[in-house]
Amino acid sequence: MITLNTQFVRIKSLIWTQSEGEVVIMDISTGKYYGLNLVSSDIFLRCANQITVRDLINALMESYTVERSACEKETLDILNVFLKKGIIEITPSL
Amino acid sequence: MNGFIFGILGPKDFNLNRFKDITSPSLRALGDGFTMESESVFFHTISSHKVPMMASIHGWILLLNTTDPQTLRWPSADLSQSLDPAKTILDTVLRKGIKTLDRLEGHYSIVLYQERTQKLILQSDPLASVCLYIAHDKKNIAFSTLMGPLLKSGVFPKDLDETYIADYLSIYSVATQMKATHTIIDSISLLPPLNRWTFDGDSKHYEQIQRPPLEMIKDPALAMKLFRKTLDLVIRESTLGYEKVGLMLSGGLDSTIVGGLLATHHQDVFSYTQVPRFIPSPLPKAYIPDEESLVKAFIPYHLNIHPVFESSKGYDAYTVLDRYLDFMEGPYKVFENSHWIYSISQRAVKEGCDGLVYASFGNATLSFGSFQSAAAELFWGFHWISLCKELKQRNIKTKQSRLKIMLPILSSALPPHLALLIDPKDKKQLEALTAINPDFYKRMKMNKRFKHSAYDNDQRKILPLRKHQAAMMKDETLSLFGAVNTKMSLSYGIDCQDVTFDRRLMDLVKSFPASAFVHNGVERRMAREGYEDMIPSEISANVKYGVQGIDFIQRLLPHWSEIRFEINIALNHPMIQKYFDIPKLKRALELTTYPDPNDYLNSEVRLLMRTLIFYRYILKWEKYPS
Repeated sequence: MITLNTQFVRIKSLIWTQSEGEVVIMDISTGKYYGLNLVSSDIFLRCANQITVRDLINALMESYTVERSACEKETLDILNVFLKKGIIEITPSL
Repeated sequence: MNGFIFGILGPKDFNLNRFKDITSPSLRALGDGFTMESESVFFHTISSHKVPMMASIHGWILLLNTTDPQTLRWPSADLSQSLDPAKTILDTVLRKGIKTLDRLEGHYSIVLYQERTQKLILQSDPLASVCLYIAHDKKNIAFSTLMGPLLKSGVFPKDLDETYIADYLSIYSVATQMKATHTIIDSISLLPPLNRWTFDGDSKHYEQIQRPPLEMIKDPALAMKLFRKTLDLVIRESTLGYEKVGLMLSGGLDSTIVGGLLATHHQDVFSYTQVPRFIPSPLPKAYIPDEESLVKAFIPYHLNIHPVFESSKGYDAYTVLDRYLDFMEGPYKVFENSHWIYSISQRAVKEGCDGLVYASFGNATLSFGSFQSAAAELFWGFHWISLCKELKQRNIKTKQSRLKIMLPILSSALPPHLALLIDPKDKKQLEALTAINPDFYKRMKMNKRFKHSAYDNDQRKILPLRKHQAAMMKDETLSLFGAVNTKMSLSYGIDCQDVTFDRRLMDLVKSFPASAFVHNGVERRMAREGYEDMIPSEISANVKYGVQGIDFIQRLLPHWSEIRFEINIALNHPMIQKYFDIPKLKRALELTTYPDPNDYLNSEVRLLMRTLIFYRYILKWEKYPS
């Protein structure tokens, strides 16, 4: 389960690309492509290096006009889906 | 660099001393190795990697053979950071269960053994790119990276599998007809891709790891983007462990793209281009003889590629024949190219390259075959409007008539007996390359084998592109391709790997729309259009093909009397008499007193060389204990 203090990173061996701004991820093990919407794509792109959920939300708050509680909830939802699908992995805190 | 694993399980009274010398000098050159023996097992690993390839936890032992631990990718544990990948894998399997191995990517073969229950588990990677042979009878089970040690142990019968010989004699490549597990030795099997075999006491269990196919991609632009990303990732990952990388660069589309990508990931790339010492005349119009000029046009694009033009002086297919025997189950064409592949590999070793990369599987995963094959795909997929457009463009570009393009496609679809009526030369031309003992021919029903000949031995047969890909990507072909790569690396002393031989690439290209294969009358669309920024137009616009080993016959000429002498001796060998048509071989000898090197497709020379390969293999096989 991901919390605000969780540190994570995008899986390096993922195969993905951008099509009209949206990220498309290829998952060989399930045979599926995942198309992310613009917000999820933005979150995905910000996970290239290790980051904590709190830092990610702070960065998102600077880019989007949204209430903090809503941003936290939606980001945590998206990250939990990413974790379940094997798109990100939790890394030990430094 | 490939390592080596060997192990045998058997009754407590077997003599361990007979396994002390199972390895060859080339294997011993990799290092001293590591041995574990008890009353009932003997395990041995050799590896040039600086990390151990054997681990033991709670009575379980794991043996790992990998070209490079850095190629291993696993959602279950971060192997790239592990100082001891064998231990990390074993620990994770013990914690999460054997199923967790289903998602382990990379180049490897794995053996797991539990001492208490004597349970043995063998697993291949998604392509069986690091091969593993298995011998099994009522008393013993053994496994090995190479077949030789299993035979050298003298524990298992060495009888030859006659169905394998029948295939070998009819098409000189067993890849298209044999089961993926078969080898030339009856008692030895080859572990196919994505397989996990469990031996548990008296019972054995074979498990094919299931991977669903990728969904079809409808948008060609998205296909192109994913294609570029995947190829880039594959090349980066598979060469991560190399400081200095060598590349076999022919000037063709596939190897040039691979060269361009390697140059973006490595500081120095040494490209090796074979320069023929003789060009036959006349050459067919579709062939390009001067590959050197194409390479020279490409080099200025990447200043960190250091070109070497190699003429393999002193080598020919005859002088390197014994080395070729190590991986002779591959297509016969490899033999004709063996002199320059060997000479380039030795040059790369000398220059300190950690690996030698090539792109021969690119025909299936990168450039997708000929225009006719793509046209056949459109025709049989009922994309007739697209086909008409492509044929019109092709006609404008090459002046080739539409009927001439379509006729072979239609005749290829006919059942073999009808196709023979239209082109009766078909069967004769195939049989001209063979000399099979009539009794053996009848006993093994060889006539049927010729009727069902596949892409590998009949170049004129036009298969729709997806069928062509499927034939190249089936387990039988992949198993042998992996075995050839593994054995070539061990034989030549350098990691030889085809970076276009990757499961992710294969899965991806199978999901492309038909329009990805051909565009504006030109085949190989993805490779040509996707890499316009990286390669010169001379190469991306080139529609001709190079002829590898074009000087094959010319190079044999200095040894020709020696070769004839050896074949004359071979004709008296009982095994050659048992399987070969001796009068036909004698006629071939009469017709080739001094072969004309301009006749570079001479079938008698090929027939004699194929006989010689088999004879030399039999001589080697006879030395193994009965």
